[in-house]
Amino acid sequence: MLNLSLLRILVALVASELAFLLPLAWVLRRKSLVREFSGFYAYIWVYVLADVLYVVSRGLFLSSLISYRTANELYNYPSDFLFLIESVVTIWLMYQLFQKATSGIPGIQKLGTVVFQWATVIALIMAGSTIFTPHDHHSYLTVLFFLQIGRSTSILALCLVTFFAFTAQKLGMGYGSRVFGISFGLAMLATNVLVRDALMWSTASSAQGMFINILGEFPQLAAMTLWMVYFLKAEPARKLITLPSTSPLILWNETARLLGNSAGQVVVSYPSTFMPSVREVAEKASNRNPAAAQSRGLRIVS
Amino acid sequence: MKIIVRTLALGMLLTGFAADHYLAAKTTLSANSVDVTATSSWPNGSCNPNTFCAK
Repeated sequence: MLNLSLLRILVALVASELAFLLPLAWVLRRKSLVREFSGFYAYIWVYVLADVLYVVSRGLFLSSLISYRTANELYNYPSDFLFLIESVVTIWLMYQLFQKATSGIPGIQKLGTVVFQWATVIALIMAGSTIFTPHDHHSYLTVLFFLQIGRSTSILALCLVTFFAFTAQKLGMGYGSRVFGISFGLAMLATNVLVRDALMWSTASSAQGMFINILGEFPQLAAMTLWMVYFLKAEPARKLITLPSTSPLILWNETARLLGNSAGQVVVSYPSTFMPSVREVAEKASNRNPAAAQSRGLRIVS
Repeated sequence: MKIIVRTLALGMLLTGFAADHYLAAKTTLSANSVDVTATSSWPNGSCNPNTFCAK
């Protein structure tokens, strides 16, 4: 039996998310941060779309304009698609955050980017392989696939924030930087989604499920408040990255910078059309004093 | 501050892993799990806009 009071509360809470997200998008535009945080800006708008879809579909039902079944159909199919887009945008956002956080150490950034890309690809392959795993006959394969992608993205977000929590100072950005703020908010949402999904999967009744969703709204609103605070305050200047002269990280950084770089090319012979006047001068010099030219290794190769 | 942030990050990571493990056990059937009859689909209408809904 559908509890209309709980549904009204849930719709109100989801609508209140818009009161955080839209001003946040406005602040990003106002402070000309859209290009710098393009992944985050896109993430906000995907979130806004999902919220609007939910509020409109449930609002129409609560206004008795459509049946609950129609409201579900209106919401469920586009929301699956939006959920997939949200996962992709979240990966893009995390990639950007990682790039920005490690920009002070280019070698480690290069190596870390390769690791990050591999982790993402493996996560996607694992999500795709869900289709071939044995599963509950009540579950839809596409739903399982989307769930798996969401889980992989959430775990990546949690790993990223743990990495930042332990290395933020060393990376020169500190806990006050927007990169850390965004990643912390993402981790809050990721934990919320994982816990809520786990609870929801064992829920027997609609009212229980809705109650869990209502509780799950509070960490989401907290994450949005956190983002707002981080974007309203000034970004602290990045600190210098210093390391002890004996730190192996210096060597790793230099080594990683060189990884994948092809060696420079050396010219060993020139075509006859290559700088004829220079060749003429060089030849004259070598003819005038062949011994000195030979001792300096000067030789014209045609 | 450093300790609080790190504790929170680790707490979220471990909670997320635990929930993910539980979810994995519920959504897939391993060789040790034979709970084929469990009706684990979500109730219609109890979905959140930021996640999917079982249809």
